[in-house]
Amino acid sequence: MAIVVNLDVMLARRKMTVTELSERVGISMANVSILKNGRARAIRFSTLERICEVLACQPGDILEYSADG
Amino acid sequence: MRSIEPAVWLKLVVGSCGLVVLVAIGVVAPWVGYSFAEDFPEVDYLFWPCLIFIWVSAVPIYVALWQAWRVCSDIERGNSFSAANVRRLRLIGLLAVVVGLMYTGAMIALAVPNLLHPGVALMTMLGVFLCYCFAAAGFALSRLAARAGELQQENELTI
Repeated sequence: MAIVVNLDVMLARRKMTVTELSERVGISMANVSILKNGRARAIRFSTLERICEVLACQPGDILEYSADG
Repeated sequence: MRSIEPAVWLKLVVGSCGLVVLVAIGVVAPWVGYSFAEDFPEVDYLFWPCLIFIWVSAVPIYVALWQAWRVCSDIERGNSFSAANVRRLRLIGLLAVVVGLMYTGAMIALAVPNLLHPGVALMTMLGVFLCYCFAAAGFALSRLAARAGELQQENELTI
């Protein structure tokens, strides 16, 4: 997948664990894992909105386009 | 009263088909064959070859019914659109084509030397028609299940 989801960097900056992120965003740990491992096929705007709200960031901070992907 | 799951209904239908085929090959076919052998002694030599052919043709039918049973089991477990079900449905379609071709060939083999009774021809043509209907349904369901599986996976991987 050419779109890479970089959650680790923002999680480290906000000193937040994956578990806390999943609880606050309202998605399961399995789905967070799917996002982090690049297996996600799509992300809903509502989910992206909640992630950005919880991590206090912009979508561009966590989404990256990689031509090699 | 709790309603019965659709998959259980399907299993009942598949089981019933198995029983019907068993009665057809075990009771009806020999009985009809005996009647024909008595009414037309000049073709009584065809009794055993025809009966053995009917019994052999039951093998792909039962394989198809077993595959259908396994499809129903997967549906019961909530795994309706698995890759295995796609393969099983395609196999059911192929087996239906095989049985249809077998009986088509048998009809031609009997019709050429003018040994085909009109009543038998009618019943066999109906059976062949049903086989090709099942084949079309099997192939179509296989394609649909494959597409549904893709959509399901995409939905599961949409966060």
